[in-house]
Amino acid sequence: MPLWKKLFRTIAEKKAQYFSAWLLVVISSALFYAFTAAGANLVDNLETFYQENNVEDARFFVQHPLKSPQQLEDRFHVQLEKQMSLDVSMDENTDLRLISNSEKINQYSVIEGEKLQTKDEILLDQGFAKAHALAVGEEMELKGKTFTVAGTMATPAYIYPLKSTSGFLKNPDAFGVAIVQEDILKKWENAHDYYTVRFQEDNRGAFKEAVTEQNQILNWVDKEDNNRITFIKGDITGIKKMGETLPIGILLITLVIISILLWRLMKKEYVQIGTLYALGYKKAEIIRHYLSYAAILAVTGSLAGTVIGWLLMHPLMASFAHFYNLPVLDTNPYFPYLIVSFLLPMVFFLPLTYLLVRRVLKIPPVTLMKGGTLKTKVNRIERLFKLRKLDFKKKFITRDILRNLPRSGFLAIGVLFASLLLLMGFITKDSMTYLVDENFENVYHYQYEYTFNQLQTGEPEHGQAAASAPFVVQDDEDQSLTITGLKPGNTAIQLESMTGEELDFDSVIMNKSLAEKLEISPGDSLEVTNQLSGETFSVTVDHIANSYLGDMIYMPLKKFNQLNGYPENSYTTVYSDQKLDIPQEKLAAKSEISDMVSGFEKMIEPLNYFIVAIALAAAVIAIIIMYILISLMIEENSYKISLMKVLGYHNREIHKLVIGYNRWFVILGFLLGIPVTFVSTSALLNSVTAEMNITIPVKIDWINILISFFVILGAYYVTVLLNKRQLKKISMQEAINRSTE
Amino acid sequence: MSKLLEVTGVNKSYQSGGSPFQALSDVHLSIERGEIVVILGPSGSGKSTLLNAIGGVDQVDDGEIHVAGEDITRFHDNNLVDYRREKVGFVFQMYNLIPNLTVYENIELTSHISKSPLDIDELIHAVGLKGMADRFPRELSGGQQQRVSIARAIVRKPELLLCDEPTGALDSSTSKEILSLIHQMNQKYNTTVLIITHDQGITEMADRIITLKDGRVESDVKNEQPVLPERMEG
Repeated sequence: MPLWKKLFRTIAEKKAQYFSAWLLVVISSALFYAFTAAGANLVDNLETFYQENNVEDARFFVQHPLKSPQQLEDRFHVQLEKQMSLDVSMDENTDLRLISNSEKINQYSVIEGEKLQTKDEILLDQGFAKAHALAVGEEMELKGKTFTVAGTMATPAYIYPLKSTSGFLKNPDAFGVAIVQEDILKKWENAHDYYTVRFQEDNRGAFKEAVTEQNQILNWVDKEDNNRITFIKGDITGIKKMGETLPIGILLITLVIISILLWRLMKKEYVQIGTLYALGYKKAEIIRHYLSYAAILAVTGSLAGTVIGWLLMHPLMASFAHFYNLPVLDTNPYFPYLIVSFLLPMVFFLPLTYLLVRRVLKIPPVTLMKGGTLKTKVNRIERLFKLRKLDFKKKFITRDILRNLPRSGFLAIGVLFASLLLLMGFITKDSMTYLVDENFENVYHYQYEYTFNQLQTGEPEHGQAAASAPFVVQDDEDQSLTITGLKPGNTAIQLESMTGEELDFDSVIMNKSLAEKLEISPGDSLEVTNQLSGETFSVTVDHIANSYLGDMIYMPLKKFNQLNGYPENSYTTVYSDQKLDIPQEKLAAKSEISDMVSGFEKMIEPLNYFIVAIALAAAVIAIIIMYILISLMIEENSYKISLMKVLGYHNREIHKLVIGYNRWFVILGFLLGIPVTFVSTSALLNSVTAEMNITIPVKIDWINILISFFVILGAYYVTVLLNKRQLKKISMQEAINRSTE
Repeated sequence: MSKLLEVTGVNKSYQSGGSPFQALSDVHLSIERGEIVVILGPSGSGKSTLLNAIGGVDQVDDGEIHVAGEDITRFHDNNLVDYRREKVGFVFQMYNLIPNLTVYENIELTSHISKSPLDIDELIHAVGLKGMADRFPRELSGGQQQRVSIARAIVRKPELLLCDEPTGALDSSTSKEILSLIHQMNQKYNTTVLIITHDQGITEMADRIITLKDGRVESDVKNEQPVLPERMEG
């Protein structure tokens, strides 16, 4: 019992150090539980949503309506449903896509309000409703008809409400989805039919063949290639990865810190430990006592962290549900994660602290009672350095670094970790900005893209003709890509080689994103299969373009038509600088670059808050780590500091000599953090985008590196300020009263 | 000879175990320049408290301590630092060397902040440590470490050398060597030396012997025939 009192009193004496270590345990447990449990809950909710609401496996549209869908359903054991959609302009910049109330596939769930009851009612996706301040019960007019907003809904087909299945920037200000009864769409001429299908067997190919026997598939998008459905998976992967790696990193750092704290404590208490032996305490009791320091931090820290994690999980999931169009989510505590979150710090701390304590207790009690043995050997590294010619300050600092090398090294690692966290936020933002700027400003030189629902022939009245079709790689059917045929001299899309030379469309060009995935170089060939026609052919890549959006191949339009068996002068897409008056019924899709750019700006906006939050978190973690380490350094050097005071050194001079050099380790940690962040962010972004058809190149703006540098350096100086009092408080009596080295 | 140190009516009390303990009571003493003075007294007599107060590492409750004409009890922290830096040298019982600095560097620790320090190599030679400049403290014997400690104190040419039980951790022959070295430094650099000890034997080398008891000066006796340390008995 008295030992317990000693334990709490020791913690109280060094409360700042123990509290900081405890805080790191809390942060790691909170992050672990919040992120992993939120990720697992999201996966569960998403699976349930997909299953209960019958998410499509693919969607397609054909040249003529299917004659006997029932027959196809029976023959291939699939669920097939014809659905209708119509894009209605609400104003110059806003389109609302009305889709028919489906019965079998992509059923909607009501988030707020009621299900559709009458033809005059409409259900909106929640992002669009919020962006346009449309509340339940309000009326809205579309194409001259007045609808009452019955509520908001989520449908598995538009979890991420993108205008195009291959898009990647949602913008609720400019685009939204709504559900109305099918009869309404039937009345409107321009409504466009498409089919959704759910497979039970692995007979996708045969099904497509059967459809193309009597018809032509103009567009086919598998669920896996549909960004509206798959984007969320990347984000969930990202959140889970963060939950698994970030807390482990923090725990490892905390483990080292606790070991240093304990080692220091035991070294100071050699005499006490020896006395405890002499008083009859058993080794096991002493081990238990010192293990209790780590155990108390681990148990209370992980308990508090898990509770905070649970509280944090809810807003995290809510922000997911808000960003994506998801129904209300069920939250399960996820006991395995709960238990791991609670036990992880203990699993991390106890074995190593046990080894540490045992090592100390191997010293004979008599030696312990004398305060340990004096070291008589000189460190080999210290001996190596002959510093006579250096000035004293440099000599002193070099000696100090050599002696405190593990501490200073660990300080650099701690800073590296905090820098990684900080830079990761900036790199994510800069990479996405680069991706968009590179593509929208340098690649796409048009304003409007019109995709027809049937092959067009001849020359378009305005704009530049092109044709696109979805393909899969013959050897790897999971790898889909888009081949676009363009006329040589096309100016709507402009590509540059990796060395910055402009590429002409008289050759086959693969973009960098796809080339990286397939490991293709100029001159390599690959076999591809058209997902619409089933046609397979070989393509030899002439150039790699420095573009990362989508998995793309560009080739001359003539060659595209020839390889796919399309009429020589046919095309499916028109790029134009001006708005074209093309009847709605002829179009499968219409998109505007400015929508995408404003969508990007919209999407990047919360990222800015996220970066500020991450920067604050990184600064706090950096301050905690640096505070403990520098405070420990001061404590370990207290005798030297005390002696220097007696010898006539001013506090600022002592600070410069004993602590000041650590800023170089802080800078070193930050500099090492830059390449480490590049590598780890690249790995993270690759895993996030693994199921998306984009590659995000890892880029960072030097200004942001500079900002991060100042944040870290600022954190260091805050730490120095916090520790200044500790240095000032060291009494000269320590050196004067010293009885042993 | 002129006065270097004058202590007038100094009192100092501590809180010990919840009750006040009078460490120094109305202490008066003065020391001339170049003198070797031994302050003798048993444990708890207040000799260390007095040394610390004279060395500017501890404050007194009242009274005055004039060193080279300046009352250091009126000094603020920064003035006290400068005072320790310029006027005083300390020699400790346990040498108090910094273990990861070599002999040369330990001495440099004080020469670095001195206005006109002595040449370190010459000093190392003078204290009998020739060829040991690059050794670390743990590679030296106790006597050698104390020599470094003396060199470190002397390098800045202090007016007052304060020695706290300088031979307390050494055997008798090494003790004589160390005392002899202190004597040499006193002669060579005209440094005033104040040694506190409970070892009666050391008094033989002193010009004056002050005895403290219960925080008061019990006696202040001039030694008419100081003996060179190497000739001391015991």
